[in-house]
Amino acid sequence: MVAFDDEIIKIILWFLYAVGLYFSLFWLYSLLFDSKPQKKRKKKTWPAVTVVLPMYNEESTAEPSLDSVYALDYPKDKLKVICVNDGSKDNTLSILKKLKEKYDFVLIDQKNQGKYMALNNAIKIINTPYFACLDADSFIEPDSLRNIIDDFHDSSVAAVMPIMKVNNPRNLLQRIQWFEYILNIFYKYIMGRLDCIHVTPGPFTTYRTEIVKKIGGFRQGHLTEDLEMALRLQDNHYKIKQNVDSTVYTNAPATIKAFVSQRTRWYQGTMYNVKDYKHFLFNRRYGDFGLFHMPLVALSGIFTLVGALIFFYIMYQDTFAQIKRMYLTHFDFGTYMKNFSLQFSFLDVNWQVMFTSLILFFILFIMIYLSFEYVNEKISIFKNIKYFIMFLVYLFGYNFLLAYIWLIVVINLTFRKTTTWVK
Amino acid sequence: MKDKRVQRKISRVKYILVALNTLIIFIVGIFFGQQLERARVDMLYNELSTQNLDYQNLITEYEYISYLINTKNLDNVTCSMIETTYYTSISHLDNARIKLENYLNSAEVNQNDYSILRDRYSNVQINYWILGDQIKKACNSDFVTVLYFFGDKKVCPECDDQGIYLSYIKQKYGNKVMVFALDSAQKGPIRLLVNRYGITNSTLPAVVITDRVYGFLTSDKVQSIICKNDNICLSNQNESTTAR
Repeated sequence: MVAFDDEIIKIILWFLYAVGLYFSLFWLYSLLFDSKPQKKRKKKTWPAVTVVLPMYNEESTAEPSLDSVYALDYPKDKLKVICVNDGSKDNTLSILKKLKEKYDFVLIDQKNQGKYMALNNAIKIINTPYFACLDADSFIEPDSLRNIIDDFHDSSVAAVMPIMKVNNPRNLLQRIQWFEYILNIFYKYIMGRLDCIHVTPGPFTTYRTEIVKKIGGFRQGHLTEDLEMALRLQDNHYKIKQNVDSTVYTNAPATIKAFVSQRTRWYQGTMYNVKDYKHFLFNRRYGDFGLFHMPLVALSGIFTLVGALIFFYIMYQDTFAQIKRMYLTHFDFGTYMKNFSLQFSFLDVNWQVMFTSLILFFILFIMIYLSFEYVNEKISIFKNIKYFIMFLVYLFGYNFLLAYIWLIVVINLTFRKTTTWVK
Repeated sequence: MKDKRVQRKISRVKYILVALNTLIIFIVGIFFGQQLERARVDMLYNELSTQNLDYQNLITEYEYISYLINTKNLDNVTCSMIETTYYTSISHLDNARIKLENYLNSAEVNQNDYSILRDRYSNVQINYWILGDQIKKACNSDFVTVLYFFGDKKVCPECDDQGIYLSYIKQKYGNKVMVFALDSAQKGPIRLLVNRYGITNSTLPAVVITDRVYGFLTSDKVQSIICKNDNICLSNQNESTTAR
């Protein structure tokens, strides 16, 4: 039985290696051999744009967010702003009312119905060809909107998102997320080249109003309305782009609890949406998006979870064997120390596994290097000790936290437990 | 504005190219693995040759001792020399055997080579065990030889624990206790010992100390047996009490 189990684990591990290697090589190939995006055509005239800020209990961030909107380098007569108070229980509404004296924006006050309804209520009164959503915990750079609007010269583009960075990372968890977001930007850049972007994040994704209205506005989307919207745009064969010249800064969760809650909502929402849009999977009609990307999205959680479980199983076996050995010998450390010697031979390494792992690490390092180049990030993770520690934790520990979250998601899905927004 | 949509494409060439590259990397990995296992097997064969040479040297030394006994000229210095050589050889043999077991467990290919090697190592162990008893008698040496018969987990779930206990005893008493671990399922000369001591799957694990067969023994029991029969515990007694 044990030998049989070990054989199965060995097969699963080799399968995971193969899948990991295949996808890494695919991304690398897409990057190296696919045609580069067209150069932007600078606009001479600027279309009118509405910025929508849905807010729920955002008393501390409402003003800075709104400030960043009004600091945008965009013709003021072409910029409209709608703030939607989604039944906040704190002072968001009174703060917004006070801010109305400072800025000229439309204020919608609705009962708490969720973010998607806040956006839909805003869309009803939007009469500009484009609109942008901005989560109230995010801040945009002044030239972002101009750069984003530039990308709409292609009429098949329905949504353009800025690159999203973590705002002022203070602790290890936030630094890890900062790093992850940078890798994600690059990943989305590659996916964008394949027309495979499957999420249009809340912070400052800008939409073509006509298209969003035509496909029926936002849906609840299992609390991931941004993901559902992107999938619906893909379903209707519209293009989603990422604009690297515009940056939005978002506040990342600072505690494990908040992080787990946020990711559980994201991952669970992803799974439900994958189920809703299961017709994408392995469907040639959707090109690479259906054949390659969506199956990966659907299986990514399983890969993360299975990989971590196997790692823990192997670690558990080794650790358990060592503890048992010590227990049986009355924890006689003296004898062990007396006989302890470090005997290592080059031949002791399993080079079949090591070779594949080294290739995977090599590709990962190339990706990391290119990601930092792509977003023009100045922080060197090898020169700053805090960021170097973060890098090590990201490489060797972060996946286990994600696996833990996927475990929660699996449990929730099994028992049909829903997630909630947590502030 | 005209409602333009994305022209979906399937990167067929890329899928195939990437799959081919993945395959090549895996084949190179497997090739490396095979080369490595080849190198491991070669190394173990080399070690085995060294062991055989050591053994031949010991046999010659032993024959010389027998001659000295017959002519009543045996002295402590000669005995001490042969004992030292014996301990060193056993230590090398033990290290090689542990390596062999580890490699065998992780072997992807060359399972047959490893099995042949294991048989040969077992034979060398039996040779050393016999020689150990002879040296002991000739030189009145104060070490104990322990023969340990084990089986795989299916037939002997307790063998893992027995191995831990005996390794511990070996570590604790060093050259005073010589443990020879033999797989009871192996063919060759081991069958003779298995028959002689009446060992079956149901009697595993079996530990033979001074020609008496015992079943599962904890380290305490092994200790009490070797201490009853020999003087080897006297030097380790204080240490043993402190360790508890």
